[in-house]
Amino acid sequence: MSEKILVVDDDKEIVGAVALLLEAEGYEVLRAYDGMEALDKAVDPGLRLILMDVMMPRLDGLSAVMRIRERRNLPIIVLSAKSEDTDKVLGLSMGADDYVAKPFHPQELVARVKSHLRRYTRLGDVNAVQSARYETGRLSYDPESRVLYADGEPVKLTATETKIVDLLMSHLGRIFPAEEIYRRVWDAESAYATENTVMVHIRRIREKIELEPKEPEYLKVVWGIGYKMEKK
Amino acid sequence: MATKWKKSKTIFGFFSFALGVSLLLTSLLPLAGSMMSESGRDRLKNTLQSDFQQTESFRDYLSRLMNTFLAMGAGGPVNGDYYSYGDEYALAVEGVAETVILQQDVGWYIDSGSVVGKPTEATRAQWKKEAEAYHQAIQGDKNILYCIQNGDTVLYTNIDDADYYHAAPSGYDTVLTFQNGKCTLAIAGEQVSIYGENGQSLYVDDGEHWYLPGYVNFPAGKETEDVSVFIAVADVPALYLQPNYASNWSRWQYNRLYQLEQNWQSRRSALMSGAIQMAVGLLLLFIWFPLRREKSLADRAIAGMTGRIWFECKLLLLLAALVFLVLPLTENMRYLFQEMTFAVAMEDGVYYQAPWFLTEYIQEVAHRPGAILPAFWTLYLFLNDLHYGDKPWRHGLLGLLRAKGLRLPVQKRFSRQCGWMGLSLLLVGAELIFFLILATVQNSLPRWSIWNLFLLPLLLSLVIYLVTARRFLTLAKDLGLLTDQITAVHNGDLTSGLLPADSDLGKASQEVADIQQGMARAVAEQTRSERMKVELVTNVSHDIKTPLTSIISYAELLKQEQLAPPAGEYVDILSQKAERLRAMVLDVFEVSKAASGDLPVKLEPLDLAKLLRQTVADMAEVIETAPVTLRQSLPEEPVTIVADGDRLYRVFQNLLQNALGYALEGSRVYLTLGIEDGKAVVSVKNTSKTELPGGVDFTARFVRGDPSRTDGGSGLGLAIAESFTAACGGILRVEPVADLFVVTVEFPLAPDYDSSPAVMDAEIAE
Repeated sequence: MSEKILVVDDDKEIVGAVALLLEAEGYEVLRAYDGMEALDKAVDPGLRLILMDVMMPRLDGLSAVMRIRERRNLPIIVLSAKSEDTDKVLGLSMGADDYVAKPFHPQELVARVKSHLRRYTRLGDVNAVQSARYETGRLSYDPESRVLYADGEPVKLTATETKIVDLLMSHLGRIFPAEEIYRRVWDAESAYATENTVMVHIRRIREKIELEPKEPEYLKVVWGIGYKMEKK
Repeated sequence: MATKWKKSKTIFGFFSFALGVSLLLTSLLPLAGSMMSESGRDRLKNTLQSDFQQTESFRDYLSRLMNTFLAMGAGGPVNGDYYSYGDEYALAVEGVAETVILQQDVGWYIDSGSVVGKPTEATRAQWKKEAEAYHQAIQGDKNILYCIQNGDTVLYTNIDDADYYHAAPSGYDTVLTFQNGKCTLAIAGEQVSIYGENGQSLYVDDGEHWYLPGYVNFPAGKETEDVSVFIAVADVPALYLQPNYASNWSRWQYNRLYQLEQNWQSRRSALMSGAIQMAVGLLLLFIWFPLRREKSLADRAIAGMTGRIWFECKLLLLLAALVFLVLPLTENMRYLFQEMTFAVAMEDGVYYQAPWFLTEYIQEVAHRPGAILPAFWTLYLFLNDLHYGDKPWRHGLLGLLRAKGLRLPVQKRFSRQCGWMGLSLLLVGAELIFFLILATVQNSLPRWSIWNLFLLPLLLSLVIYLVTARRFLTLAKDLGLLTDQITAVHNGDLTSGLLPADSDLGKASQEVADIQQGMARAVAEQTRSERMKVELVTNVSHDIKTPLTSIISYAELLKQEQLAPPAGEYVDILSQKAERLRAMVLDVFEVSKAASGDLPVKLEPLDLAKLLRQTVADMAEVIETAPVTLRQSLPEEPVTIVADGDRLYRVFQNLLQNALGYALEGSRVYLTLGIEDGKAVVSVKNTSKTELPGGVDFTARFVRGDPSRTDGGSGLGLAIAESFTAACGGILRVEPVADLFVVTVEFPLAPDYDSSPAVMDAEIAE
């Protein structure tokens, strides 16, 4: 049986388009057009994930998220045309797992849905082998085997990329200047094009681990200072 | 209950202290006064004798009486001793003295000390008359019974019964007799040895020896060979008054012995009461000592009460009290002053020495214990006030003039001028008063009229000064408040207070307040309109976003369909344009937010050179594919500024995109960073593809070098760059020179992080 996803938006076209995109990926889609309807549909036991718009008639998305959270523990992604940071924070604090601003890229949305579903379904068997892993959001790094997992799937990295990931994942949240990364990874004094060299690798890693490489969530540039792996 | 007990302990402690000190003062001062002088000390010694007959005065009196009687018995003069008696013989024998003075022309009186040889008959007759007069004067005083004989002849006696010529009646136990050149004495029935054990001692005038003839070196003389004197002294002297109505002196008394005894008695009781006072005072102080902590609470309470009185009043009271103390001095001072001026005139030494002065002073003060107490307690209260009070000198006239919180130079100048004015007035006043005192002391000026003449204008000018100075200082304070108000307006606080309307500066303050209100209104208006604009843009962009989401999504879905050749291209175009619209909507939203000043920024020190290198590295793909070359000149060492890194990245991303997009193909884009005048200056230069229009503000929204808008930009790149730079505290300028498009971004260098950011140091060091 394919996994069910509930898509809630008062704009029927958007619901239709998102449903089509998700069905193309093999998911079964339930549709709702306001918060009350969403509450009714959310009781479906086969439901695995909810996409919820914020501004809707009858019951707004954030209230709906709160009420669904009282009964069900499944990933909820909030869609909103409001792109201000405060809305994002509010959404996440109400119990949403993720936040996607409208207008979104269809591919990004699909990638996020997949990522959350993988993590959600994988949750059961994760607890067993949690040795000394470094975890941040959907990333986890095992320093023993030097393998980086994104949503539980191992990511293929080159030797240099692995060294950079090893350094950043073992110091989550710490900012490393390019010179230090260069010195530690390449084991040489920084040369002229340090920044470029490091940045090229950072960009490649991002393409492998980030859902939206142009707007990275984890591997971030701290402008004017260095680079860091975001701690989530 | 406990507090009540404590309170009563406090009151008790204070009163025992106050009473104890007062009693000690009033009892000790007279004692100290009499200790200061020889006569006082003697008097004290005599007062301490068990009986008045043991005192020196009594001895002196009895001796002189005997001497006089001997003279009377021998027919000599009796006057010699009258004037040498001590001061306790309060009443001289005026009646006798007058007679004596009337007889001055006889000649013996004036130089009685130098009478040598045998007196004439006339003199003898005169002396006899003299002795008669004296006998007349004293015979009524039955405290002294006497009988003077020459041979067997009784010359003078006041004993009525001849049986008692040589034997004292009862009640007269002290008997002094003279016979055959020797005296015998019994005091209170007991024989007293006058001339020592063997009756051969020498007379020494030491107050211990009796001043009676019969010593080896003080024989009685030939004249007294046949004279015998009997004196009986009453044990308890009584008062005898003898009227003399027929004479000038209507009545007089002659009661030296009685007075002697009375004086001694009263001194004794005074001493006793002094001793009791002292004992009680000491006892009270013993009670006070363990309660001294509680008593200091009372002191504090009293200081609280006295603190309400103007300091000047207290000063005046203190002065008055001290004048009481000084008053006994004034007489002496006048003498001293005259002596001093005299001595200076005579080029001679000062007669009166300081110790004399002090002794006199203490003796004078000792005579008025009533004056010392108010003076002492006023001084006590004054010092207590100074000790426990909270800067009591501030409360009073000076306090009224004290300027609180004056900070501005003009205010300080005001208060300084007031101070100088007051000081000069005080100097003039002090000089005047000194002159007046001098004049009064020297008695060279009529006193009160002159005082009034000078003092009234002085007082008047003092009052005028006080009023004026107070106005001055109020003005200075108001000036300060007005300045504060103006400063508040300058700093953007539009609510600060007003001066009262009756102030001299009230109108000015009101006007400033009007400006404040006007500004506040204008600012509120502007804020409101900006917020409305932002809300509008937000709502519009939201409204656009929803259909845009559908467009993008369906374009994506269309792309997944296998469409016939031209349709696929159309879908691609749709998809591209939808993407551009999306970028534009986001840009519009951000730029409107930035323009309203709502843009949140997270300022922190960062290395601008590194930020530029990172930006270039981040944009490496775009740069490589662009048909132009990027030439960069960035310093290796850190250039630290304080800014929001994310915002600044957007600034330079936009600038570089702009430069790469509009540069002439095959030309070079220059990115440089340098330090000029303590500022970090970034410049981005490119040669424009098209001719640049003149007189255009490139940072305005939706303005582009190419008005036909056929390229991919939203026209907001520079506007965003400009507003983000401003939000981070920098300046962005667009300065086109012919076809050269130059953008410079300036940031002040962070002062504390001049060479290398501390954050980075820490990171590297680890």
